Amino acid sequence: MDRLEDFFRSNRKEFDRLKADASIWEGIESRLEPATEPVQAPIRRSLWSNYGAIAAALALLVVAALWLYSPAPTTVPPLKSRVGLEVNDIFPDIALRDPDGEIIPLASLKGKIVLVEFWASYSKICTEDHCYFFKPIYNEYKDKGFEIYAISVDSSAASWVDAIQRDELDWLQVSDLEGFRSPMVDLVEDNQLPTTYLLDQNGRIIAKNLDVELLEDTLSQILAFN
Amino acid sequence: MKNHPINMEKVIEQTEQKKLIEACLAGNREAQFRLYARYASTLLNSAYRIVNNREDAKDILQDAFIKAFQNLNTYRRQTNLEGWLRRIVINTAINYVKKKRLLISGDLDKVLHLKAQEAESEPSWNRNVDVETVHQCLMELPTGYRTVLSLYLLEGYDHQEISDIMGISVSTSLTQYARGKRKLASIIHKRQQHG
Repeated sequence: MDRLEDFFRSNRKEFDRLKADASIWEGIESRLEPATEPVQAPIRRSLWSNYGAIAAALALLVVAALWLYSPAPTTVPPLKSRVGLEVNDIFPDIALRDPDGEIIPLASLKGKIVLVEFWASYSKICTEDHCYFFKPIYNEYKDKGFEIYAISVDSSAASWVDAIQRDELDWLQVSDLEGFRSPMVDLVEDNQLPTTYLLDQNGRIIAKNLDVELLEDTLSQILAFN
Repeated sequence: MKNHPINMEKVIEQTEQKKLIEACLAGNREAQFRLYARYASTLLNSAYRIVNNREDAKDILQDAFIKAFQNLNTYRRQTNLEGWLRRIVINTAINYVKKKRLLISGDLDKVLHLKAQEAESEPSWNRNVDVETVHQCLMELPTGYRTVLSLYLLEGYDHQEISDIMGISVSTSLTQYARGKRKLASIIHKRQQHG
């Protein structure tokens, strides 16, 4: 048994007795105090009145959710106006073709944690990231609600597909093959490859260019219950 | 022949508890209130450690007690009442986290914060630390580590049970536990260095 386990074991009761921040505890304690509430006070009343509050909060949440989920406008505003995406922004609703010519809308990944990556076949750093970091992470989390949407800024289909096959990359691969003429390039920060965005289940950006070493930690926590 | 002393306190407590449960089953509100009063404070801590928000923890506690009163007839006397209630509270709290996925951005901040702390400190901490500080450090962990650690270290769950209740594999539970412990140690250490 290590020291931490030992500490918890020998102080287990103390942890249960902890009472931090008295003001927040008042709600419950006032209900427990016979002086402030007669013993006959029906417990159900206080429980149900709280239900009212929960119901109101739920109603608000539903309204907010409906608002968030309202269908995206059919015409996507030109990407030019979206330069400088920041954390908490909603990532633009893009749809590009995979090597087989299938259109894959980013929106089809709603409900998953998505890593959007801009890369190019000729970038050594991208290749290293893919092979050493993305692969193990993808294998671990792909069945737990994680997906990678890799956008290549290559202009040659051949070198794009070669790199995918050479490195055996099995996550989603898309490109418009317009190279650096592509409007997508506006989303590449300072023309640095790779540029990555981590999106939450609603397509909101939760991190930009997250250190690859932190990616696993983050996913292990976000997807802890999946 | 050795005389086995009777633990009178325990006998009285058990008799009282039995009466209390019977009264609750009969729908006596005063009894329900007393049962609630007796365990609320301890169980609030259990819920709080999972959801990391006192307002949510209070809602969970109330929900859990409603469930408990509705299912009190399924409670078996041989098992410990507090343990039985604790399970209901923890299940309710975990379902709540599963439904509410808004903890994400907060968790990311915590992961980043942890990384910064780890870089600077070796996770060797001084045993001379109080429970409250350790508890605060525990609450600085992101959801996954915090939940696995509190279930294992404070609620007495084993990794098989944690895997069942959280819906993760046993090996994930083991890794999260090992990593979480290391991270907790480095937070405690950092706190001790900087007072």
